[in-house]
Amino acid sequence: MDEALLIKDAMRGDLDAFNRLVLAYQQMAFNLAYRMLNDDAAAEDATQTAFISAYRNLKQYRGGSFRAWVMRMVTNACYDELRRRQRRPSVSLEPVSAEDDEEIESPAWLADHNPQPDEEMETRELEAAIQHCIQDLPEEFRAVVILVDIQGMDYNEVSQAIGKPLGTIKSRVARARLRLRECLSGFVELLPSKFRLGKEAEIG
Amino acid sequence: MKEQLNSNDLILLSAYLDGEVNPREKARVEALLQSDQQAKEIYESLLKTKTVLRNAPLRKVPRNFTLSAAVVQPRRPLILIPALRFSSVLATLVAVWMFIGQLLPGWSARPFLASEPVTEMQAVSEAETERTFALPSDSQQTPPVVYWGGPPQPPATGMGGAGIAPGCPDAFCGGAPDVPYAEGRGGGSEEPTFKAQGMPAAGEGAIQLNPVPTQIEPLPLEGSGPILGVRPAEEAGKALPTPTTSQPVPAGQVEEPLLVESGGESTRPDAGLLAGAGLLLLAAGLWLVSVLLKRKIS
Repeated sequence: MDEALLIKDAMRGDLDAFNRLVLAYQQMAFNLAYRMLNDDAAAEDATQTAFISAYRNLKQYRGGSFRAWVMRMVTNACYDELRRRQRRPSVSLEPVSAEDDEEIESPAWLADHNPQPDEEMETRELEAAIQHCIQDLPEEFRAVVILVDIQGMDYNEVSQAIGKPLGTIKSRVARARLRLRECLSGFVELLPSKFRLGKEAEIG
Repeated sequence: MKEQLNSNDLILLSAYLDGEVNPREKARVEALLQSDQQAKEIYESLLKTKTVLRNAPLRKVPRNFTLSAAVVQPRRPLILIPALRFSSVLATLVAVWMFIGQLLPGWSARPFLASEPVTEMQAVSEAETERTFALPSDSQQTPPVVYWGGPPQPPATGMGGAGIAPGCPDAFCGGAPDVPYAEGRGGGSEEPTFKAQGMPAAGEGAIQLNPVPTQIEPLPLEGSGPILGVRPAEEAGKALPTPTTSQPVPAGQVEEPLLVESGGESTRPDAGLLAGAGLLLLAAGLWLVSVLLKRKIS
């Protein structure tokens, strides 16, 4: 895939060329949105909004990392959604027991009746633990650590995607990692032994 | 934070993990890792944290996010949208303008009654206003005194009092505080009979003006409502006839002092126009800025 050529064609209005770029980056975009918003449906909406916005504002692209430019669109869509949530807090749609008005913790309609291998279950639990710790981070730390540690972007790209100077990115990555380290140490039993932090590794 | 390392050291350790340090910083971090055991432990824990995050499973995309021509169809921009975006600002400015207008002395000095028809206020002619302003100064020094139940008795007889009941405000009990009391007891042999005059009942006792000469020309009293001088509704809208020279005040009617607005009438339109023009200019400027900003953003 010649990215530069596709971008050039897309800037001329070639929707097919742009859609090929979408297919290349949609996995990264959706995962970033999901980690930011912790909600599948909201992440879907944010990703779609980001790609529409990217297509409409393609003429604003001035070169550099196209991936970072697209991630910037996604990050902005996620910030918009987070601000909207703060303005209008949503009501939980969890099913409520008719008897005591309490939420049903494991509703039957959510249960997966397929047999779950242990490994898959552990992976899911680890994934839930990571997501829990990421959600505990402030928004500005969250975006940076997702882009650097999960998406594997370098600091320059993240600086471009977030719109902050390189020094700010360095500082935020370090602080986010220190916070995550503290949080993940509470889920030591979920971590594979080689990933266990500090003294827990010796115990494990 | 329990670590003794300062925040710069921690940032450097984290950046070293990602290879985002320059050669000088790299040398400094490597020296720190060799000399400081605590720094080494923190570095290892940060490395493991990064590894855990890097190995976090990716979520599968629920669907393709490719765009269709219908989705990206360019929308026709509405010209009114940028202006409407500032409608709340405009409303606030207008509200502030009206509030300031209430505070300015020349804008709302004249009190308005809710029941007062506008036409009635317009009926007050310029001639009346000028005539009232043209009153000599001495007439203002001797305002008319109103007596209830007729003029007071001559003060020189009897006990010399003017019949003021104790504990009763003189102006309401028939007394005339402006008239000097006779000093000492007079030569009258009769036992003085003290008789306080109360407020006359409705319809009894004509109100008379005191005989103090004044230059004020009485105006005819209009209307019969509880508020003197306010004409009934059926007369609303009719022009008030300009009173000629001194007309006798009919009994039972009291002259209403004319309330005249003092100045400011001629400056109101100018100030209002200026403020309005300023607001319009401001609104136009805001609209222009919004359009420019929108173009720049898009």
